[in-house]
Amino acid sequence: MLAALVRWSLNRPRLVAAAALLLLIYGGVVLAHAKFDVFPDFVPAQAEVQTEAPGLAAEQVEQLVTRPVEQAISGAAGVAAVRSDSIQGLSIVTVVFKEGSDPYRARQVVAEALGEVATSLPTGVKSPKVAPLTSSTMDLLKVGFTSDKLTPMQLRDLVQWTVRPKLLSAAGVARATVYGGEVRRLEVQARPDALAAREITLSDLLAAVRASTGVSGGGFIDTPQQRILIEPRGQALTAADIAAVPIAGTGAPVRIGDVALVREAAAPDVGDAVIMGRPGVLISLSSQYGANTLDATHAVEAALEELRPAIEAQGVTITTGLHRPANFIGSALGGIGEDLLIGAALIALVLFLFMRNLRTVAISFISIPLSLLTAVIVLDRLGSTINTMTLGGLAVALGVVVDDAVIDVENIVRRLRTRGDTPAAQVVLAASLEVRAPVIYATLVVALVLVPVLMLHGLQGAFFAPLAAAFIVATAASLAVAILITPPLALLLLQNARLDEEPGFLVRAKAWHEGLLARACGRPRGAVISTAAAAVLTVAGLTLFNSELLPSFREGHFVLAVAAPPGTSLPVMRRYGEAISHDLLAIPGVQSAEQQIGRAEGGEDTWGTEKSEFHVELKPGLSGADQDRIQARIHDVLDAYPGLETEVLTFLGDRIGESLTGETASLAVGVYGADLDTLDKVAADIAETLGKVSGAVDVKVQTPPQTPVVRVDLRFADLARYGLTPADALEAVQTAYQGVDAAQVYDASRSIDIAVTAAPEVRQDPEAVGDLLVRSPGGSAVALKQVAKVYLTDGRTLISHEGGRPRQVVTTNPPPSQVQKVTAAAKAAIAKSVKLPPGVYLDYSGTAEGTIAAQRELLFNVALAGAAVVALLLIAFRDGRAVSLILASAPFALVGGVAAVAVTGASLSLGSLVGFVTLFGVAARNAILLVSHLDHLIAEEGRDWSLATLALATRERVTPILMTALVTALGVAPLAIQTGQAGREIQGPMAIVILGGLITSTIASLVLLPALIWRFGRPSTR
Amino acid sequence: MSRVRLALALLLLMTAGRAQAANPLIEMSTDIQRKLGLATQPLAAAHHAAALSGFARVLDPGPLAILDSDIAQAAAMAQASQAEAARSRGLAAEDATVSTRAAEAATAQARADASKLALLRRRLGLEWGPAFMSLSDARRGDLVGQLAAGVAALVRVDAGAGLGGAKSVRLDLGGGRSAAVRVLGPARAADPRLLSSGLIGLVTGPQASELGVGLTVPALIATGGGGEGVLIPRAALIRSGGATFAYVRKDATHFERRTITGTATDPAGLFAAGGLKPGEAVVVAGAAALHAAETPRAAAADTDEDK
Repeated sequence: MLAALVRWSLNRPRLVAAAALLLLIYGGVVLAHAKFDVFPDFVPAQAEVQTEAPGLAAEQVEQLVTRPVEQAISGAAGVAAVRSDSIQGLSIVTVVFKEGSDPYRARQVVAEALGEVATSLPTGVKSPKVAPLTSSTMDLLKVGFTSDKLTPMQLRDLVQWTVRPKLLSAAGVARATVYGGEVRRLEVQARPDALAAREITLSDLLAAVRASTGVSGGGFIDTPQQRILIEPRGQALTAADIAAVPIAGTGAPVRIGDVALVREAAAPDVGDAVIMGRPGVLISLSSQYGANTLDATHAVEAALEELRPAIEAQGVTITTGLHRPANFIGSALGGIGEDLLIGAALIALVLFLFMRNLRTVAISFISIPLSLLTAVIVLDRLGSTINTMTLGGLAVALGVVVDDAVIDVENIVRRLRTRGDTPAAQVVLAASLEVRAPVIYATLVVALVLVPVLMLHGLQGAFFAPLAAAFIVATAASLAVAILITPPLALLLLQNARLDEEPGFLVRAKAWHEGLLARACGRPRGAVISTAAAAVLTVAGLTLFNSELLPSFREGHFVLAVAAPPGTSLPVMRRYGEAISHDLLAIPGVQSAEQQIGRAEGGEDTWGTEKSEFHVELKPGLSGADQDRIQARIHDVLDAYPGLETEVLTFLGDRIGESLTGETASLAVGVYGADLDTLDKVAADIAETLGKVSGAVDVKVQTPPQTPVVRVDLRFADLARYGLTPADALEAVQTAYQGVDAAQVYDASRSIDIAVTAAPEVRQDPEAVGDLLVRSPGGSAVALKQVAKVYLTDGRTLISHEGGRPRQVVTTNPPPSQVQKVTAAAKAAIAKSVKLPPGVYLDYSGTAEGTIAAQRELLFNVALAGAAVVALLLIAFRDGRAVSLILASAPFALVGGVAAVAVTGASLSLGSLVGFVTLFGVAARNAILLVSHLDHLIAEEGRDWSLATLALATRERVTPILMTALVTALGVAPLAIQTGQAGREIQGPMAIVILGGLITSTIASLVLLPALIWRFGRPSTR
Repeated sequence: MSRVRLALALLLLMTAGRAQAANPLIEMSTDIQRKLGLATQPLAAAHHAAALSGFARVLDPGPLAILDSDIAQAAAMAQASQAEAARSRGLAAEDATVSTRAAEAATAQARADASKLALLRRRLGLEWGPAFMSLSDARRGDLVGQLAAGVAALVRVDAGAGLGGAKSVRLDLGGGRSAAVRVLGPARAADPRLLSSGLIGLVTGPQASELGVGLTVPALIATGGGGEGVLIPRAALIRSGGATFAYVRKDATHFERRTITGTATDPAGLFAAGGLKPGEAVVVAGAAALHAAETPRAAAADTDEDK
């Protein structure tokens, strides 16, 4: 069949060449329109349910909102994990679905479950909302607005009602969250004493406000000729309108304005923003699931440009690109694309140096774009994005891709040089078929060793499977190119070409190698010892190196988490923001800085007012070292502000960490149990124990400490004495301090809330809460402190659940290289020192656990793949000894990679492991081709088993092996050199391993393996 | 004796140590103070008068006027019947021009009228309180006259809490205007809405004319308590651990936390009887930053990106 295929293509060389050209053009078109992203989608299918519970404390939110929502969702089909956080006024339940779930189906399941629970939530709690489905990187663009002319309320109005709808309508935008400014609302500020004096209840006032804004249709009149509509218009739209509305049922004519001040006021906000050190309004945009980040960014920017003249005419300054992940995508893809081009150019140079014939170089080289573009077409059809991981896979595949063609061309050229009168087509066919079978086996082995990476699960799988897929698809495509396209091209271009002899340096190199080989074969024990020593060193290195899940990213952007003690107000955080932003902007290399404080309704960050996040964008084109320097300066700035809890992350590092366990820490110890106080105590004990573990730095109890609370404990006997129900008292407190949204009015496209609340002077002192007048429907009125114990105390800021169980978390952030060691030491120390009360249990999560799990899975998959490789080789060679010899050369190939890791920091990332897997494939490929060529010489060409035959087989493999090694090395060299730079963070370590391993693998293929074959390879069959 | 001195010295040292522990010093560089806009303000001495807020309802003086008239009428009748009884008894005893029976009837009538008068006077006390009962007829008559002329108004003052110590009352007439109330005495009927025993008071002067019968206005009832202390601006106050405190500048870079005691709310801030002294410079901007600095948390958590 193989011969038939090659023959078929050789019979139609021009047609095949035209088809190849078409494929190139189509591949180019697909590449131009492909979806580009920085990383593959790495966050598993999940849904976040946010339920606003205005006025409720964290404990109340947990009991009344979070638990019912959790219970409704936990039993839903396909749910893998349910996590929750309850904070003041908000319940956040995160549902993680089993791997491979369809995110749209997952959201539907959650929405159905929520439909039932929505009706059982307490009055005043809003309906649970499922957050929009966003991409893994989530952030699309952050844009800031500041103004000296507009008031904070006017600025917020402009962004909320003009900018937001426009940007939200841009293709690919899932969510637009607005922070900062003041939200306009109409407030009916009731005076409790005035209400009591007129014997009016809050319910009466609320009813009056609602009645004032009621809208109803008027129907129509049918005349014999027409239908005339009736449109009653009586909705109170202004504060004056509302104040003039009478309160029904009071006997006397009392208006709303008689018992309350009705005015336009700022709604109590839960978030704020500081733009470039000035208070402003921030709009944070998230991209849709599966959207092309670059396209969506451009669409948003185009929409913003349309608005810009109108906005700037109002005296508003627009600061774009406060966070623009597209920058990183652009620089990462650009960088890695550059590496690919440089690699390809170097490969072309090597090909020319070895072949000295432009036509042969062209035939070999054309396989690169053909194979890579075929891979791009396949990946695009499979719905994959073009990201740094797929490009990394293609970069690593460069060497293998060109190798298929090189082996073919080199053999064709060699045979054409000595063809005599044999027709060129026949020579090309024979030469192609001669190397085709071993090339297929070698390619299959290379693909097979990458299968374990393809089969990885979870976050690791999400990252590395696309790399493996790109590699395998490119390799398969190169095989197809070598079978179908390379022979006809060789026939077209080489049949009449003058083929020079081998270049002199190659002849001299071969002569030198021959001498070396003779010496090595004369001392085969040396080869055995070297192989054994390499095996020991490789195993030792792989075991002893520190390991880390993913490397540091150089995104040119930092995320700074800054938190003050719980209960800190928005103005104080804003003041911090102004000062810190000023300091940050003074750091050379920092382009912009913004701070978002607290949260926004429906936003992705669900924090109290004491927490904030800075986004620091660096100037473009900074090196990794520059970014490290700036990061150190940022730490200095933050450290200068005493008492703040700070953390410096890169955005993707933050997202990746969160997607693992919801934690960004390297090690997180989860404490579970029913009693929150017990959890706190155990967590404190664990924190103390962890603090004594060497290397465990920044130990902290994750759930923030207590926040100041005015607690109101109702006394039921006293309530009864005054004829009050608990609801009367609770409603009075809620209305006074939280406000009740009574109605909405509409002004053009804007909706404005009307809230009934207490006058500001009633709300300003925590010490005066007890003086609040509570009035029953029966008319009795009494100060709150006479029916309740009102006192200042501390309350919880956040209650976390995991799987429905209360959870406290203790975290530590040891350096990446020590994470695994510290984790092991921490587990031992906690087991020894912390006595767990009954019902309390622990779990360990974080990046260390992820690394260990990934390595275990990879090792297991490698074992399976190893078995498959052995089986494949046995099928190919039908000789266990040959298979053993091929596998024996692997350790020496790998030891170069181990040495490279040792030299560059002795830290083993998943990228490095993938490098080792690739290296094994390359080494096995060379060994297969050598063993099979030796077989060919003996079995097909009738040579005897001798050192001369072995030397000839090896000599004829020197050129392709050296070329393969050189082109692979040069293909990945730019990645290795640029390691740590934007986009090469993962592929860099991988390239370093391959680069180091190629040196030893070439020695193994050309010297050690022949010596081993000479020592052990004399079978009866040979 | 020396042992006693030693014990006292130790006690003083312990107390001083405890005071030091209770009022920790917080350090903040002048640079950070400047960046965070930290500012202080000297505290002024203040007097706080304890007061209750309540309501005053303007009473209808009609029943009082009728009662007053009834009393006057009854008094006249009692006086007349008393004289008639005395004359009848004298004539009956002197020349028997009046029968003994008629004299006894006149005496009975006089007693009945006196009893009626006494009842009406007691009704004053029962319905309007003892203060009204103790008023002379003339003064009461003057009062009714003023009420009728609109130059005085009777109010009933109620509050949710007890009114036992009420010394004076001011009415909030709205628009920043107020009226003083002269407390006449306790009312006799409780307010069922507030479960308040109530006070009866009198408003005189031009404002009285604004107090129409049935009007209810807010009232501030001075209870006579209170004391001397300082008035702390709201921006200086921090609440934590169930306590309220403020920071006092000790020197350019050091601040001391002081827990505030004896607090009472005031429109201009929080009155504190203890914890702070007049003249001390209290932090009125940046107190939360000092609070953060005082309770240091995990600083600059190095992450995997840091290395």
